[in-house]
Amino acid sequence: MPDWMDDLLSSLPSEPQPEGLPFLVRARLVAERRRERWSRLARQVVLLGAAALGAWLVAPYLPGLEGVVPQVSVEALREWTGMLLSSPAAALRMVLDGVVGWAFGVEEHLGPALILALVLIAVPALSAAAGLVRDVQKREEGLA
Amino acid sequence: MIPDDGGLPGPARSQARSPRSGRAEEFDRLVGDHTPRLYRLVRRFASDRSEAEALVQETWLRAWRAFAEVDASRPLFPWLARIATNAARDSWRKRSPLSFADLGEQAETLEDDLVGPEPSRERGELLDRLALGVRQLRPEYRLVIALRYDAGFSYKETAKALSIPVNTVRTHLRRAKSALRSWLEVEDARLDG
Repeated sequence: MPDWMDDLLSSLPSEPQPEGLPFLVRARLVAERRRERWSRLARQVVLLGAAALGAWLVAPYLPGLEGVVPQVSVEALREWTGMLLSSPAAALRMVLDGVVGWAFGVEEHLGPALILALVLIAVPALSAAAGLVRDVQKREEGLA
Repeated sequence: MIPDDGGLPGPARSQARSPRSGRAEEFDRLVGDHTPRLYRLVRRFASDRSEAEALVQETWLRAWRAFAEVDASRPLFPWLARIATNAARDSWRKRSPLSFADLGEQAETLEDDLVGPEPSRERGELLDRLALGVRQLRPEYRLVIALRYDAGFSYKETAKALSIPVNTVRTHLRRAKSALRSWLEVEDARLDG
């Protein structure tokens, strides 16, 4: 039940905001947005640099890569799709086995420099893909 | 008490929070619209004016960083209030926990006094003194009072903004009011004496 104290607390005097406060807030926001832009730019430069370095490292190995590119036939893909529908865990395990085997094959045949190069290319590629997904989600939310 | 209208109607807020171009301009407009109310809220629990200004700025910075992820269908002000109270608690946590006057503990054992102040007492003077008393309260009591009486939040909204149970909100309020009653009594005695 409200009492006299509730009544007083609801009527407490309040100070008006200092006149320049919204301007100060906006100034800090401008600085924050500038920092965000620089940070984004720096991240893009680093990722592009990594991709370029990866491409430079992988270039000498390109002629030999044919031997380690996994051969996927339409029949095998169909079989795997069927397995995915009937037993997703087994299908995932099969893919993981294949990836691990392929990674070992790459390492054995072409050495750690190529692994490093692939990582350097994969990280920016994954980052770009994640950015794309995020943008699409935001756009969908904006249109919702 | 200010009604909790959320600041903007739903569609306008949806546009304001769209991640498309113009987001920064729309956000700046929200700053202009909501800063007076936000400042009034923050000033109630901040220890002084400069802390209130710093907290308002920090609140808007945090709001900007999270702006894209906010649910546009919900009212904006409760979200801002939550950010502001979190910013205040973060700031207080960094300082010495004994840097405030502990008026609340002194009055916890006092029974609630249902008799109001003397009718002859000037209301404006009384309110000024009460506002001073609120500033002497423990920080968590100040937060609850600010959200309940300045922002006009319900117990549930206050609890949500502070991430505490509703019963804790009730307890904080009861103790805060008890402390303020004793504060007024002490002040009365001091002035009369």
